[in-house]
Amino acid sequence: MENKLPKKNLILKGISILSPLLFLFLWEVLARYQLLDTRLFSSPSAILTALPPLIQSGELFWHTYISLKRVFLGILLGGGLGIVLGLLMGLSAIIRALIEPLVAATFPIPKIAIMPLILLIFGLGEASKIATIAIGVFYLVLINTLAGVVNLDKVYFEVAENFGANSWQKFWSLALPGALPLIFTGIKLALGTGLLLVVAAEMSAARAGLGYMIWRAYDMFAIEEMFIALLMLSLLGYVLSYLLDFIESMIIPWKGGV
Amino acid sequence: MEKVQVENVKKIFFSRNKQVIALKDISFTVGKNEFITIVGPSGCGKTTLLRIIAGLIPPTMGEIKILREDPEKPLTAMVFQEQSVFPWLTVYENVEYGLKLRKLPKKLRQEKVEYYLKVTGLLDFARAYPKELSGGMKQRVAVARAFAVEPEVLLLDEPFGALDEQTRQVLQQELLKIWEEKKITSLFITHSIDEAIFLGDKVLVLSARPGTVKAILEVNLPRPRDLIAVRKSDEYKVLFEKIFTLLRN
Repeated sequence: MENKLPKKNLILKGISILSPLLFLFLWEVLARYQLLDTRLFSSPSAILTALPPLIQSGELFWHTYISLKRVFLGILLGGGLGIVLGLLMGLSAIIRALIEPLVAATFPIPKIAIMPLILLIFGLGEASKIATIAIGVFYLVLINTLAGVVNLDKVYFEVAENFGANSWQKFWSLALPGALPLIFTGIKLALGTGLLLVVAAEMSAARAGLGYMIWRAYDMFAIEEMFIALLMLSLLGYVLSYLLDFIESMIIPWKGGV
Repeated sequence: MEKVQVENVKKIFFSRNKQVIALKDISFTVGKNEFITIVGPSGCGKTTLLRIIAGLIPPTMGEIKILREDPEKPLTAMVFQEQSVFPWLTVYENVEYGLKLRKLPKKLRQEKVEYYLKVTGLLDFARAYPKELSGGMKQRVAVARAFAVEPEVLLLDEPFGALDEQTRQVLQQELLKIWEEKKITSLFITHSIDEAIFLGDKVLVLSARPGTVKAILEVNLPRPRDLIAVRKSDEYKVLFEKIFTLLRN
């Protein structure tokens, strides 16, 4: 038994590494024998050959940087506002009663549906892209933050009250740290939504960004370029969520304790 | 004036169109440096009474007077029945919490925290988070946190109720040791007759709902107390029987 378990794990791990390799291999073979339409699906080798020029010209990293900046600023603005409002709503029944119906009424609107309105309000520049992301992300962070405060055990508030904490102190010493695990859940969800919205925003009225890159590749029928942009998005999502996990473990060493 | 005066306190809870009288005509006093234990059947309003004294909920009628001797000190500090140690703070930060809220200078805070960590045997765990601690250790932190602010009156709401018998006995003895250093006026709620006698200078017996004061009994046992010696004494046996009978009727 003791001998078998690591062996089994090793096999499972091997399968997990092999399956994407097998997929790439099949893709390449099918493309080589013209069983796949390479005009639409390209092939791994063709995509790999198209990569160096895009890296050397700095184009790929430029578009990545632009998209990343938009996602970052959008999450910073929308998420920041979501955290503050979520905490205030969690602490004050009046503020919650005031804001909750507005949130409930506007949350179900798909954020892509308001993009034309955002374009009209913020124009064609950076502001409209960042606003799209900020608005989409705002709800996720707000709702999670609120849940984080509301689900805190009542006894913590009584302890603070008994020690004479004022509202300000309750905000900083109680609501914020107590809600932090769920705030992070909100930010992780925000990351996925942020990537979705940045691509959507960049498909209309943009001059740079991975979404723009995909759309331009469509226009020029440069299918390899399109796949490279898609791969970059996949990589971004993976690396960023890994980074968030790391930051979370640094900021919340007590996780799992609430 | 006595340290704590509870005068004709009555508490009614309203739910829909029903009224529940939780406490009725509660009057008693606690002397300075006295340790009073309150024992009563479950649901008699013990916790409600302590919450009223702590100022967490208002009484429907009556008044609580606490003699303030040092304006620098908080009026009360409470040790709660349930797990109340902040999970996001280390043991050290938890004990420091009340002192920080009172904006005490850092040096003084450190002195007090270290003192109470030492007397509760938590010094080695100062940097640990509560999730790494056992239930008994967590309650030690809660006790240290309340003691650290050195309040006029200490309120303890069945702090050891959820612990196993052995941990509970160890913590009872530790509590007495810490208490005897400063003799902060204390009210301690329990449903254990044994605990009530062992800890208290006086035992206040509450009746079942609506809670009223059935009796206040003096515990004439010398301090420092030893659990075995206390249990062997005639005083303990007599008191145990008295309280047992009072609670049954």
